[in-house]
Formats: sequence, structure tokens, C-alpha cells
Amino acid sequence: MSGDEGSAVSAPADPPRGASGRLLTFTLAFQSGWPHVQSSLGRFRLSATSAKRPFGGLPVSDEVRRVLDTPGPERTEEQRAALLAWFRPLAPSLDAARDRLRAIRAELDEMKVLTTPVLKERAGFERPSTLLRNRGSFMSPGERVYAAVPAALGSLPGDQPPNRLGLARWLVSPDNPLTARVTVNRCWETLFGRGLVATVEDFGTQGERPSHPELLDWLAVELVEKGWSQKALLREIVTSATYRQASTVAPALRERDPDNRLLARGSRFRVEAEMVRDVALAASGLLSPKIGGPSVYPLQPEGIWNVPYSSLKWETSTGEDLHRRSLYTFLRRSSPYPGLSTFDAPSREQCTARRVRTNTPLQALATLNDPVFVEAARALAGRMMAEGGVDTASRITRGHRLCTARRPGEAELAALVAFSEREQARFEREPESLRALLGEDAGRPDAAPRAALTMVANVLLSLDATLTRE
Amino acid sequence: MNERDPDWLRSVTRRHFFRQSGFGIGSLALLGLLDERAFAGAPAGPPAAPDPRAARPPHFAPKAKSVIYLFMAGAPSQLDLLDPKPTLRRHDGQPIPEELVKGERFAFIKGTPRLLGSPYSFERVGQAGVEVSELLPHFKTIVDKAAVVRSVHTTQFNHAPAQIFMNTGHQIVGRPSMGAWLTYGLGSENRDLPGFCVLISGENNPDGGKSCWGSGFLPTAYQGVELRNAGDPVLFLTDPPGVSQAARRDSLDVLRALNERRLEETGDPEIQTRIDAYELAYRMQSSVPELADIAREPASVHQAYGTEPGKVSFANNCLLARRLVERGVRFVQLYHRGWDHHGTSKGDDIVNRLPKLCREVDQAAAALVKDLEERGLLEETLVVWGGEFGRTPMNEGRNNSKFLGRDHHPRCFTIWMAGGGIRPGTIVGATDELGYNPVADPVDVNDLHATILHLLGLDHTKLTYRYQGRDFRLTDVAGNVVTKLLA
Repeated sequence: MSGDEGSAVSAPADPPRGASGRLLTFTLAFQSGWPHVQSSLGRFRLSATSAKRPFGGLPVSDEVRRVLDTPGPERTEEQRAALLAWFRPLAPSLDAARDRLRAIRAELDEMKVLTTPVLKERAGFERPSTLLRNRGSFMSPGERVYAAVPAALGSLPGDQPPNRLGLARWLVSPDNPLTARVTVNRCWETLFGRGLVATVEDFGTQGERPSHPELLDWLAVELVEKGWSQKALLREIVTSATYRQASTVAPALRERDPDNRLLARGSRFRVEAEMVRDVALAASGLLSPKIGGPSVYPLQPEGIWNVPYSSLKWETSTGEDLHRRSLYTFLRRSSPYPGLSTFDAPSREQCTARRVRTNTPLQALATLNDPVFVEAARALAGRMMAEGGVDTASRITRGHRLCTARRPGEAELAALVAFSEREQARFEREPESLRALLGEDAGRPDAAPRAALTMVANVLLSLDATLTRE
Repeated sequence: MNERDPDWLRSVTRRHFFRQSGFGIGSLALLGLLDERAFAGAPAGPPAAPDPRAARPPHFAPKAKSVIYLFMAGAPSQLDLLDPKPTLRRHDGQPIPEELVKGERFAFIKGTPRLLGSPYSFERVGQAGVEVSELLPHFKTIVDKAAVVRSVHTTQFNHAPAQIFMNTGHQIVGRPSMGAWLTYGLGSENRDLPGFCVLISGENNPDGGKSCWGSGFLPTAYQGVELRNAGDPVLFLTDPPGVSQAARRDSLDVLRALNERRLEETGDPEIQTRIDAYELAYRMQSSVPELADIAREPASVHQAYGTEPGKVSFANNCLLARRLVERGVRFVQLYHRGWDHHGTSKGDDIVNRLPKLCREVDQAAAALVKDLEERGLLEETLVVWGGEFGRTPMNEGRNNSKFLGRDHHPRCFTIWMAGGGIRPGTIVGATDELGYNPVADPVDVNDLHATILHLLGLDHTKLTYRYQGRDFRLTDVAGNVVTKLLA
């Protein structure tokens, strides 16, 4: 440390005898574990004494020495406090208390309490700044700049400090319409599949203009006036006549507004990647409702995590964690979870506020054959049998409702029942297929209808109506 | 409306697309070709958003339709293979001139390293008199079909960032890879197979990981699909246990009937796309295993490539690559990891290990070029062979190792390209007499990308995607087409 004062007193275990006239040689080694840290002494003095107890054996700084040199009554309040602070850790009368403190600290260390580092602004520190780099070159520094709000978005309120608190207050200030507009637009996009401003990530000059500007502003004001309650906002939107429209459409209307920008009908869109799996888990009754906690490792094909310089292994979760909502899936940017990236979830190497939806054969293969979906189909079959009465038609109706929230039409039901019967006959003919599909459940007396319903469930989980929010 | 805009993908109907892209309504024959799924009974009404993989017209007449990129991950030594330096041999073991390495940072070399002459002999072959190492006897036989580029340089000297840079034009992960850009720009001619396929062999996966073939901010439908060596070649290709092919067909017919019913009720063209996707998936279940089954190729082909069905090898992947482009796949990328010859041990030196790697790739790479030519595919298939950077003209000598090896060298390295509009039998660029710096026609990574896009009929300054408020390109703000490479 630079500029610190210090002293050390050491008494040799085996003091030299007959000291008078003898030469004592001291070797000082200046060592530090950090090669770049200056650790030599600036100025120092060596003294030797033959006293039995050299100055109490206590290190005394110049400051403390000055206090000690001051007669008791003349010491100031501060000096007294400094003296106490110096003496307290040394006082023999406090030995017992110090021992206890040490023991408790050791116990605390033993407990290995998890702590979370929290970013905190350094009080009284110089305002953070950086240099503009001309033409982006780090070799050519320009003007010094300080944190501020982008000029196009106004400025921080005059009475606010230019720090995180000021920014937070600016964000939610009633005079700032941007935050609320962007927030309600994202909420709208989640519910309708497309924002009132289609470019949810960009409200600037490069973004699209809102389709319904007055509505956007009205919702934004509502959000602020209702205390930023997302729940109130969601309720407002989903109970509206616009949201509750059917998504079926007359050809003439479709011709006039193919993208449904004017919302003369309900919207239809495939649910997001995470929800594709969640829908299957929910319909089959496997979904765990647990909230929070560390990320989990659902079923994933072998070899996905085979990456150089890494011995990390995908250890598939067990129990409830196998079936948590997909947003709890452990994400590794260099090896994305295929079940998510196949359905357009970005790798998170870049911030992607809006996902483009695609409709591909790899997605079809996933809902048909991914073990996650096959397991869900087996569970859904079990649920159809447990909750759908005793005949095939009512069981299938139950399954259809669980997947699409509506009863199948007559023709749909007939097609599914006929398929179930064909499959049941097949499984009765092919016991090895039955065992392969059901595993240990193949021994149950109701195995053949169960396997047939598993095949029905496999179809139900792949239905457009199941994958689509309509 | 900008047809490269993300919104275009989301919202423009196929009808708009054909109208806007200048096809006109008269091109019904072409529409039928692209839209092979058209079948009786589909209800009338505007069709769905275009299939992201449907073929799209290029900016101008292309020379190549497909690319096979043989990525030599780990970085082969150009000085022992395709860029010989007699001066190095004359001064072998002498310290390199100080002024060359002053202030230079290396991955491993410390102090003043010593020059290392190649232990291999070179022969001048072909019309351009390309000097080719004795380690690449098969390349000598195709040298007149290839252009050798000796002046490629990069900015990155560690494997992962250099591979990411080589593939995405940026050293930090997150940009789309060139295969993703190409399938975004052109779609693919085969919709039963992914438009961008990745095949991996060698010591392990490339250092850059899956970001090397990622789609970055482009829709994930454009990312490379790894054809896996073990298990299903494409994920989830195999039906669940106990589900026969007949049962799968039966279930898909039921699924289709129900989806068609919903299509009638809602009129949502997206349902038609989904019906097609499930039918394509069904076709992939037979087309992909058929594709991956190289055992049925005649013995003469196996002999030429050095393939052994059932093994994981670069040769097998070369043959697979040919089968993929034959079927119209747009971009096939092979990774073969193992070229990182530092000389720290017998296992990674240029005397023992380098010849082994050359044996692993030389025959198959040459056979691929010849095979493509014999089938009339070389004209429209661009083949690229190269690593992520070069190797130093100096021996690395890490910890006084007695094995010979070379450190990473981003300043210059050699790649070769063939077919697809490349001027055959030519050398582009040159390096100084020590092989330290390019001295003629330097080609940077962006130039290489610009050239590849150009050969595919795409203007690299116009193939853009709007993200975070600006248009991005594979070449970002750089890149010049290397005209000397063009036929």
C-alpha cells in the first residue's frame, strides 16, 4: 500500500547473548505474490533494545502515538475514539468476546451462505464517462461524453441526478409516453401475434408506423393511470370485443386485409417456441407448475453438447424438473436446445426482440417424433382414459378438448375413432410394437387401447389447432 | 417494400412475392415447379407466407448454384502444402529478422523464433506451374481445375474467433453464417432436404461451435442443419418405437384430414403450409436415409474417394456432399478438425501428424472435384478448401520442444477454389520470400465472401437484412469481389 505507516516488533526466540559490541545483521526481503505491486518500504528505521518486554509488543502508528503523547484530559473526542478503536482488538479483557466472534464467523463460513452480487453505484464517485472514438478507432480519442438520455428522446428531468435513479424516474415519468407505449405494444404482440407497431423492437424512424395510433396511446395512458399494472392491461385487452372475435374469416374480408392489420377478425398464429412444448406438457398433464429456481435439463438428443474445450455434460433432469415450463430450460449459446431453435427461438447470441415465425418440416418431425412429444402423447392417452369415460369417442373428445379447447366436429371425431380402432387392431396383432411404444405399460390389461390412444394423442399434439393460438 | 425485409417474410403472401419479384402471372410453369405441393382440393384463397426455403431469384445470372465448403478447421500449414519458400529452407534454424516480429503477438511463440524450412519437396504442376507439396499427390491431379489463392489474410489468430470470422464475417458470435445468408438470399432447390447442411469429421467439432453455421439474427430456418454421424442423420427423423411406416402414413392422413377441415373453417393459408410441412417431413423420412446411405454407390466411386460406408470420415462426407448438391442443396459445409500442428509433441507436429491429415483429406477432396466434373456438376458447384488462418514461417518450439511445428499466422494463408465460375488453373496473390506477408493481391475474408456471393449471383452490397435499425450484410461495410478469380 502506498503511503501507509506501519511498524513491527519482533523478539527473537533465542536472543543473542553478551550483546555489547556485537554486530547484528538484518536482511530485509521485499516480496509480493503480485509482480506488478510495489511492495518495498519507502523509508524505514531499525531499532534494537535489550528490554525484556519491548514496547508491549504492540504496533503503534504515528497517529496513535500522538494521541498517547497527549495527556488524558486534553484528548479530543475524536482522539479518544481513535484510541479506543485501536485498543479494542488488542485489549486482553476482550479476549473471550473476540474468541466467540471468531467462532461464530467460522460457523458462518461453514454454512456457505449463497450470496448474489448486486450492482451498486459507487457513492461520491466521479460521474462515469467515456471518450468518443473518432471513426470507431480506439487509437483516436475524441470528446469526453457522459451518461445521458439519447437526445431524440428528450432529456432527464432537470431535478434528477444523471444516474440510474434518474434514468428510472425518467423512464416512468408521466411526461414520457415512450415506455408505456412500447410496453403495451409488446403485450399486444403477445396476444395478437403482431404489435400495433409491427416493429416492436423499433419505434424510431426505421420502424413501422402504428396501425392504430389512438388505441396505442389510449392503452399507454391507461397503463400509467392504473399504476403500471400488467394484469389490468391484460384484462383490458382480453375482455375487449376485438380480442374475443373468432379467427374464421370470409374470403372477401381476407382478400381485403390478408394480414389482418385492421383486426376485423381474431388472429391466428403458431405459439412461440417455448410454448410449443409447454402446450404438449399441459395438455398431457405432465407440466410442472413450479415457479423459479435454477435452470433445468429436459430430454435432449445425445451429442448436442459435444463442443471442444468443454467437458460439460447435459445431465438430464429427473422428477418434476423434466417437465418444467420451457423457459426454465438451460440455455447454452454455443449449443442451443434443438426443441427451441427448431421453432424459431434465437440462440441468444444477439438480442432479438421479435422472432420471425417459420413453418418447416423439421418442426413437423419434432412434434411427431421428438421423445418429449412421444412421452406427452403417452401421458395424454393415460389422461384421456382416466378422464374421458369408458368409450373411445368420449375419450378422444376429452383429448381433443385438452389440446384445442373445443370439441371435435362429427367428421373429425369419426376420423379419429376409426384411426384409433385401426391402431388398436394393429397393436393387438403386434405385441412387440405395443411393448416398444408403451414400455412397462404394455403389461396392463388395457394396453392395446392405451397404445391406440397414444397414436391418437400423437396426432392431436401435431394438429395445427393445437400448435396455433386462435 | 424491400423483399429482404424481415416483414416481407412474415407478411407478404406468395402471390405478392411472385408479382413483385418480376415473375408475372404468366410464369405458371415455374410456379408449378417451385410449388410442387399443389394438389387438388386445396381451397381457394390467398396462400400463406412464403416457405423460407423456397427458391428465390438471384440478383443477376449466377455462375454457381451450390457451394461445397471444405473447412480445414485448425488451420493447415500453407508453407508445407501450397506456398513453398526455398528461402526458409536455406535459412532453416536461423533467427527471424527482428524487424519482422518487432511488436508482433503470437498465440504461443515467445522471444525471437527461428525460421523453419519445409521438410517436404514440391513439384511444379499444371498449366500455371503451381508448386504442390508431396503431401498432396491427389491435388496435383486437379490443379488445372482449381485456383490457388496464396494471399488470404484474416484479423484473428485464435481458432474459435477466426472460424467465426471466416464463416460470419465478424469475429464475435451472433452474425449469420455465409450458408445462412445464401439460403436466405436464394432459398434451396430441394425442399425435401435442408438447404444448408453441415457434415463433421476429424478430431472433434470445430472450435467455433454451432455458431459457425448459425443464423444469427436471420430466422432460424436458415441455420445449417447438422447431418449427424450417429443416430438419426436429421434430428427426430425416425418414428417412435412401435410406429410402423404404414401406421405413420395412416396417422398423417388423419392429421391432414383434420387440418384441412380447419383450413376450410378459418381460411388461414398457414394451415396449408403446415399440412405441406408434415408431408415434407414424411418424405424426408425416406429421402434422408436414402441420401445418407452411401453403401449403394458403385465400387469405383468408393475406390476414388477412399470411402468406407459406416465409418465417420472426411471421405464419406465428401461423397455425401456430392449427393447433397446433386439433389439441389444450396450450401454444404464439411468441417475436418485436426490441422493445428504446433509441434508440441509427435501428435501435433508437421513431420508425423500433418502427413496423416493430408492423407485423410487429399484423395477425397480431389475425387470430389473430379466426380462433380464427370457428372457435369462442377460448372455450377463452387468448391472451396481452406482453414481459418495460416501457420508461421518459424518453428514454434514451445518449451524447447524437439518436434517441428508452426504457430498461428493470420497474415497470410492459402486456400483453393474450384468450379462454379472460378478461373481454373490459376494462382492469385503472392507472399514474400519468407511467407510472412502478402506482397500481391491480398484477399481478406470479406473479399472472399463477396466473391462467393458474386459467383452465386448475389451482390454482396445488396444482400441485406434489417436488424436493430440498420441493414446488415455478410460483408458488413467491406469486401471487394476478387475479379482475378473469376473465369
